[in-house]
Formats: sequence, structure tokens, C-alpha cells
Amino acid sequence: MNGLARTIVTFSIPAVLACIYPILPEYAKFFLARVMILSVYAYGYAICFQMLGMLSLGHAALFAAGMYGAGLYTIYASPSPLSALLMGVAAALAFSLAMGLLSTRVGGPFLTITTLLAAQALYLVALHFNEITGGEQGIVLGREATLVWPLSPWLGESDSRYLFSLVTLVIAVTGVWALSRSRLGKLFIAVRDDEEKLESLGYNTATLKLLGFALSGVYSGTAGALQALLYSYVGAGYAGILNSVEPVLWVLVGGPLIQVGPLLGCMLVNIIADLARGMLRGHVLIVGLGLVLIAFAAGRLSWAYRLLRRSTGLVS
Amino acid sequence: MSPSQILSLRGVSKFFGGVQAVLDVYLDVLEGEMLGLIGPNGAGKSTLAKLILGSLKPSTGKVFFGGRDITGLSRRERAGLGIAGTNQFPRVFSSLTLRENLEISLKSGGGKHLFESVAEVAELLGLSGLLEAQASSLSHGQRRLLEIGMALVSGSRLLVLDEPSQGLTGGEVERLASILTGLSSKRLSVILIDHRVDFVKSLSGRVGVMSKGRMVALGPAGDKGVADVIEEVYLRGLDAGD
Ligand SMILES: Nc1ncnc2c1ncn2[C@@H]1O[C@H](COP(=O)(O)OP(=O)(O)OP(=O)(O)O)[C@@H](O)[C@H]1O
Ligand SMILES: [Mg+2]
Repeated sequence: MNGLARTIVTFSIPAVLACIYPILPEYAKFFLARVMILSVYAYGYAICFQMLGMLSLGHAALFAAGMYGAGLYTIYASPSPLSALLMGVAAALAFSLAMGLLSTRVGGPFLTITTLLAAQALYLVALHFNEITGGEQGIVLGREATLVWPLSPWLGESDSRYLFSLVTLVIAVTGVWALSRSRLGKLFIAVRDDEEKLESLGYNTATLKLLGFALSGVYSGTAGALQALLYSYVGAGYAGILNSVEPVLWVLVGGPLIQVGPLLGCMLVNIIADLARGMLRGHVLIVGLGLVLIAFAAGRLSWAYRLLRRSTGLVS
Repeated sequence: MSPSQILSLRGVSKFFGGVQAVLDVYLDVLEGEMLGLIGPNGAGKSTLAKLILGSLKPSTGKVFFGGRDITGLSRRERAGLGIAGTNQFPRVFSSLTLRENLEISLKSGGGKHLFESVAEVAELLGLSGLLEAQASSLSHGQRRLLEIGMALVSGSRLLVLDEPSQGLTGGEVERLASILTGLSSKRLSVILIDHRVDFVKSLSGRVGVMSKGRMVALGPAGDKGVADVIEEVYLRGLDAGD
């Protein structure tokens, strides 16, 4: 696929999401707004996993850092949603740098374990300080602290949520599109392909990996902060392991084209999970596993297999 | 050490457990020379290449580059000084295109810049028509030539080529020979490791012969003594070191 075709495909789904908005029923608006925020998270995860080949199982902590950073700021500091958004992103950036510094020193399966444990640590901290964080139950934020509040004289809640989510998604997609065309993006892919070779050309791959991790953290934290500021809720559930596993699934289901894959995979998994939830009361993970099997059967096996093999370093 | 020496190995050895892969090697490589290195399988050639490049550290001995002790420097730090190399099994970035492979290699190292553009080196490699092809779709020989091209554009003062002719077609070997011949005008030092004795002899000024980890002979390519040692270690399988 040439550059122009790729660009058209990249922006076609957000364009469709913008066009169908006026005719969407209320429930679909609500559902798609949520999926768009999760897709921002998916893109962030893809930078780490798909571009750099780092199989993190700790990204829930980065999402949660954004969510807590923003949400708790509105509760304990000031109910100003824009500064809260910045706080959320800053918290996620700080946490991703710390997690990245630890985990990118070690490769393959050790990176996976390190990120997993770091995320579990944050989860336990959130539970431990439950007077502050609200623990598993969570805290509902004040209405005036949300991003939808300033728009409320003109737009309904679900409309402004949709609008914020769409704008954020377009920014996120544009970022990944630009990254994938840039020299930095090529270097990220080179790290995934052969880190040692890149090092032998004089590049500092540790710095590249840390940079990728931080960028991924900014995406994840933005999604987490918006989650808090659009739905006026923070809760430890978002820091749990399931929220780390789901983006792996989205990326694998979405396929090899990083500009559209994360969005496509996230939508597909959530639509099917949503349909199945009604029918089977099935857990999203069960549906997810089913989807992986479907995706594999559809001939993506080699792609997903190569990505997993490279990122876990189990076969060199 | 005279100023025309770019690389010096001083009593370098490398042991893997009980295996003595490289044993007490002394070697000087001169500025701008092409030094051939031959020896049978398992002689320690690739290990020596890695000790020079920095992907392995010697068990004993020291490595000097441009008069400076670089024994403790990493592979990346040595790249920054202008030490480039290719691997016995070619390593390129398979998800990237040929052009992207060359682009990220361009001037990434710390040596002098022999080529100004990706197009120029692609032309030299005979791969201009494949610039937009993904590296994973290249043939073995094309990957090997690409890796050599990456080393050439990276900016290097010393180039270590580990069996660059292995697996190449006849035409590709000719192409490689003309690339290497062309380098002599660039004042780049090259260590050429290869199994094709005549190929090495025809391109190199001096030739070193390794056997069982030792440098058993080193001299001008046309030297009778060197030729005798080569014959001994290859044809009779004798350990000329003992
Ligand atoms: N990483 C390693 N661990 C253990 N032994 C090794 C390692 N690398 C090389 N060796 C051993 O060191 C010796 C020298 O190997 P080396 O690859 O340097 O030889 P070579 O001259 O390059 O041979 P070839 O012509 O087959 O490429 C061999 O006996 C080899 O088995
Ligand atoms: Mg070898």
C-alpha cells in the first residue's frame, strides 16, 4: 500500500465516525464515545508493543495514572478540568518514565514481568489508600469538574462526550500517522527488528525504548484522564490486570497496519463483547480469547506470532 | 605505535568456557589498508571480528583504536568512533524498506562520510531498483549487499566484513569485488574475512591466516610463506601453530 492510500485509510474511520454522528441513536453515541477513548489507549499501547516490540502488561497503570492524576486533582486541588487533564497526562508521563527506566533495561519476558509487577504495585497502592482514591468502589467526581460541564448550556452530555472523544481520537491518529512516517518511527521499528544491530550502528537503543515508553504513556494517560473527566468517575478497577491485557488483544486483532489497526481492533472487540454480554453474560476476556482464535484463523497467525515472538524474545 | 596504525590487538584471547576461540593474537591494521583474514571453520575469525567490533569483550589482552585503548568500550561506543562491520549471517531491519535501512544507517557512526546519499550507495550496490522493497523480501545476497551498504554509509574508518561473499551469486561476488576495489581510493581500512582464498588474496594487501584461535601467519598476499601456511591449514588440516 503506498503512502497516499495508507493516509486515506488511516483517516477514513474517524471521518466516518464524524459523519454518522447526527444519525446515531443515543446508545450508539454513548458506546462509540467510550470506544474512541479506549482507542486512544490502544494507539498508545501499539506504539510500545507493535512499533517497539515491547510486550508490556503494565499499561493499566499508565491509564490509571492519567485517570487518578486528573480525577484526584479535581477533588483535592481544583475543579478545573483543563488543568486536571494536564495533571493526568503529567502523572502518566512520570509513571511511564519510572516504569520504562526499570523495564527497558531488561528485555523480552523480563520487561513483561517488570511492567506487570509495577502495575500491580500501583493497583495495591490505590486500594491501600482507599480513603483518598475510593479504592475498588471508586469516587464520583463533581459535575462541574468534568469537561462536559462548560459546554452544558449548548450541548447535551452525550454529545459533548462524543465531540471530545472524536477530537482526541483524531489527534491521536494523526500523531501515530506522523510517527510512522518519521525517522523516529523507523528507528522504533528497527529496535523491534534487531536492537543489537541498531546499537552497532551507533544508536542508543535504551533511550529510544524509554522515549517510546513515555510516548505510549502520554497516550494511555490522556485516555485515562479523559475517562475520568468525561464520565466523572475514578476507580481502582481501571488499574487492574484486565485493563492491561485488553490492549494486547486490540492490537493483535487490529492487524499489522498501525495507523488503523488499534482503532479497528478496539472497536471490533468491544462491539462483539458488547453483543455477547447481552447474550451470554460472557466476560470480555472470554470473548476476547475467542476473537484471538478467529483472528488467527483468518490468516493473521504469522503476523501476530512474529510480533509476539520478537517482543517476548523467546525465540531469537 | 606508529601513526599509520589504526587498529592494534595486543595479546587478545577469548575463551568460551573451556573453548579457546581466540588465542594470544597480536595484529596491527594500517590506515587505508585492506587486510585479508582466512582460516578453516572454527579458526576464530568471527570471534576476532566481534572482539574488534566490541560485541564481545576479550578474556585477556587489549584493543587499541587510533592509539586509544578501547578494550572497555561497548559496540555502540566503538560505532561512534567509526568502527563498522557486517555479520556472518546478514542482519538488516526486515520490516523496513531498503531505502529506510540505508537512511537510518546514514552517518549514524562517528567516522568519515564516504557517501553523501542513499541513492549513491544503492547505485554502487546495484540495488537502485529495489529501494522501496521491504528488506524481508530481498534474497540472501541482496541482504548481504545491503548490510555492507549500511556499514559503508554509516561513516566508518575501519570496516570489518565477516564472510561477505558467502551465499552470493557469481554476479554478486563480482559486484562485491568491484565495490571493495573502489574503496581503496577512500582511505578506509578494511578487514576482509572470507573463505574464498583467491578472492581475498586478489583484493588484500596483506593476508592473515588463523587456525585454532591463533594467528599462524601474516604477510603480503603474494608471499610464498603465507601461501604455504594457507595450503597447510586448509588442505592438510594441520595445525600450523604447533
Ligand atoms: N558464543 C560462543 N560460545 C561458545 N563457543 C563459541 C562461541 N562463539 C564461537 N565459539 C567457538 O569458538 C571457536 C571459533 O569460532 P568462530 O565462529 O570464531 O570461528 P570462524 O573462524 O569464524 O569459523 P567459520 O569459518 O565457520 O565462520 C569455535 O570452536 C566455536 O565453536
Ligand atoms: Mg565465522
